[in-house]
Amino acid sequence: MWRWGRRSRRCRSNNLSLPEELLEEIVSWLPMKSMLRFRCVKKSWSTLFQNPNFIAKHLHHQTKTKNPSILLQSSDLIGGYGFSLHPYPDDNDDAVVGRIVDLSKDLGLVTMQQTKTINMFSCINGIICIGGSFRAPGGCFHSFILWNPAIRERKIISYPWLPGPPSHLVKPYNSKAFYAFGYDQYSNDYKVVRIVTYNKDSPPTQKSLFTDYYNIFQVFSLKAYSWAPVIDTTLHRSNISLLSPCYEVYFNGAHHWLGFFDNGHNKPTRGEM
Amino acid sequence: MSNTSENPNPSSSSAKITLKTSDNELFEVEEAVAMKFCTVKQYFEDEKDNDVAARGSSTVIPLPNVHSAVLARLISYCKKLPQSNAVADNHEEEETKKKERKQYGTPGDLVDLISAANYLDFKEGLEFFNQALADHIQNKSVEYVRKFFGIKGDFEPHEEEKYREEYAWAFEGVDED
Repeated sequence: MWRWGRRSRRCRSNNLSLPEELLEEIVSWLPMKSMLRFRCVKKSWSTLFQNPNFIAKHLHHQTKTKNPSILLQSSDLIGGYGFSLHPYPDDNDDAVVGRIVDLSKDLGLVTMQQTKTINMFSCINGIICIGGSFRAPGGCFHSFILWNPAIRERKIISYPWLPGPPSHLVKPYNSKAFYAFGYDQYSNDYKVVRIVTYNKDSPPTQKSLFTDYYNIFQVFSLKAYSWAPVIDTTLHRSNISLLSPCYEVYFNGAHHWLGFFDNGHNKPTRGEM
Repeated sequence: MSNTSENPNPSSSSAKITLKTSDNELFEVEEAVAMKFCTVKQYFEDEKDNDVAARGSSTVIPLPNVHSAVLARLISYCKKLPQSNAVADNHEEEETKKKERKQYGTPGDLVDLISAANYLDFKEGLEFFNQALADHIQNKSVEYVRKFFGIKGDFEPHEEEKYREEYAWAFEGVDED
């Protein structure tokens, strides 16, 4: 935590030097582009700009002074998706208020020409996560794109291999997929989650309650840069039925889905990331 | 004392406090304004505890680290009370805020104001002037910032070059100094 300096012994003088703690406060108000440039000023600044506490403070200041809004705009007709982002970080011209960002131009990606190619769109702390099926010069792929427009970086993370339901769950069954992107404050990490649920078509009986359901949870950690399954038998076998990806809300750092325990009584419940 | 911080309306408190700057100028200010400076508030409260009979009326609080020109600016800032804490709703509002921040003098003046606000433990003002100085340097070059703050670069030339190449676009559109 930042502590306010009190009663500094430094006398006012004609030179422009300020104590380091005050310099750090000043730079925490800078836009990202300036910070990327001022990494070069000195080593301690370069280190400071990577400090999680400083990043949190900078983010807080950015959202305090600016009110950026991002809008996902579907434009299937022209074969792409666009985003309106305000303010776009490289627009030096103050007159430019917002700008449409083109998925193909800015990210080098084209969505596939079919319905439901975008599975998810989420924006947290200025990082945009888009999940779906894309076409690129190399071919088609299903993946998440993590995009940080402020530093003009993007990472493409392929969906992990899906093991599928266990053999006792025979067809026909329903399958639904849920996606989420979030910031884990405990590990200071960004995570993407995929949940795939399987359930039998027929209403469950007391006997089949725990055999007719199967859930797979997979988590991608940006820090580890890898996917890992969540191993938890109660979750895998749980008869929680999540309604639809539409009934999802991100609040207080946790993703919530509306669902119910499928035992005849429809009781809303929630799943948290 | 409880409502002085929330209610800066001078009519609610007619008590005055005298502040003495480093160049021996005396400033008579509203108590509500002076109490925004936590260093002054602390001093004032200590004085009151030590000498109940004095009751503050004749107290002169010395500020040996603050020049009169700087204190005058800080007081005028307190009286104007810009809405520095509200989020700018749109681009124009953000620009208005930037212009408002620009009024408080040259970058050198801002450095003095920041030093003084820090010494006086005046959080709101410190935040405001920090932002004003950030506005000033945001489009400046690395060299300008080093010179302005008296910082000596400590990267090896090849290390610095690597950083510059990595985010070359961040070095575009920089103001000429």
